[in-house]
Amino acid sequence: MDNIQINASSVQIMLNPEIYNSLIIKQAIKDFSGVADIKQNGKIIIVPKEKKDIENIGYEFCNYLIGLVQSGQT
Amino acid sequence: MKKNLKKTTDYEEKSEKEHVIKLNPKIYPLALVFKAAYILIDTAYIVVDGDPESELLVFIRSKGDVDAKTLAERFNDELINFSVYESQSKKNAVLRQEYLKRALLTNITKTDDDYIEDKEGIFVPWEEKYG
Repeated sequence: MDNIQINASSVQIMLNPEIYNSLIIKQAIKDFSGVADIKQNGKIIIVPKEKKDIENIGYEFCNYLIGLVQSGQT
Repeated sequence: MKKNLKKTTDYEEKSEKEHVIKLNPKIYPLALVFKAAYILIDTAYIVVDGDPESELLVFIRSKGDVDAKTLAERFNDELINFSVYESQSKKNAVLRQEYLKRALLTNITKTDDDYIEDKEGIFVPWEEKYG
């Protein structure tokens, strides 16, 4: 996926703010804070606490966003 | 027919595990796309991108052994399911409301004001009873 870049120790996600609203992204960042350190400065940079999660954590984050959008949580 | 189909939905295979679907948001609005995506999140990783006004891009990446093309087809089926559901629901909205009104009205029953039997005269004031 072009929106998700997996590096050695972090994952970068680029999301369209017209599609994913900022409140939903903030909620997801809060919910993922137990498993990763996440920064948001235009891009979302995820540094997982366990290195084995690096392959999937970005994708899981995006799926989690879809779940939040569907449940209407902001 | 084929020409029209290409305008509304377009597939692009990136690899066996990844697929991109291009959608016309005027036919499949963003809310509908999220509903269809939610159905597939157990079997695929999904990211929605693009322009909500002109073209939506849905990236699908398979989680397991199922190939991305099959998932893309399932996604398309879900889109059709939800759009049919939405249009039917809009069509039936007035009828549904009428049914609900009727159902609520049938539960309203007439009650008499003096329905409480006061056999022992408990509700009679002291002054009336004993002067």
